[in-house]
Amino acid sequence: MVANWMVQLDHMTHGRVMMGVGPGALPSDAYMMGIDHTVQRPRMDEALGVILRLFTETEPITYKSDWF
Amino acid sequence: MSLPERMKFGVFMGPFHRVGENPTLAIDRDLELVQWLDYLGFDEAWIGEHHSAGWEIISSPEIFIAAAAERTRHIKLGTGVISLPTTIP
Repeated sequence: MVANWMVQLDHMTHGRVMMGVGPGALPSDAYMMGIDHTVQRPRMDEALGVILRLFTETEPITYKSDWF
Repeated sequence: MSLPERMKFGVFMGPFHRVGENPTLAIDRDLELVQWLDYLGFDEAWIGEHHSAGWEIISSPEIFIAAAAERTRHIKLGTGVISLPTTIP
């Protein structure tokens, strides 16, 4: 969905959108979402890998994860 | 004709607002600020995503950027940042 949103925004802004991602800065955000803050960084890394594949690969991709 | 090389200026807008402030007006003011940045020639504006703190009320930089894009012409709009562990890639 992140990849889709950014592609849509890329069209809507005529190329003026820039994608920045992070693991989440506030421990209170992680607590509110019910996520252990120690998994935020590996999850960001895993998600970004999939997003970059969606941006660059021409074939549909399949990916198995234990959280999305 | 290409423009000469120059340093670029951008703004990272940590979405801080006074607790208790009217959120409708606060978000409206944030959008107006981006319009001014565009008018004044800033190159970039980065918008953050926060959920739990009452003074940071932008939970979706994507939605904010969609609205800001309609009000601006030149400035680049960045997600600063999307928190990936709470999304679907």
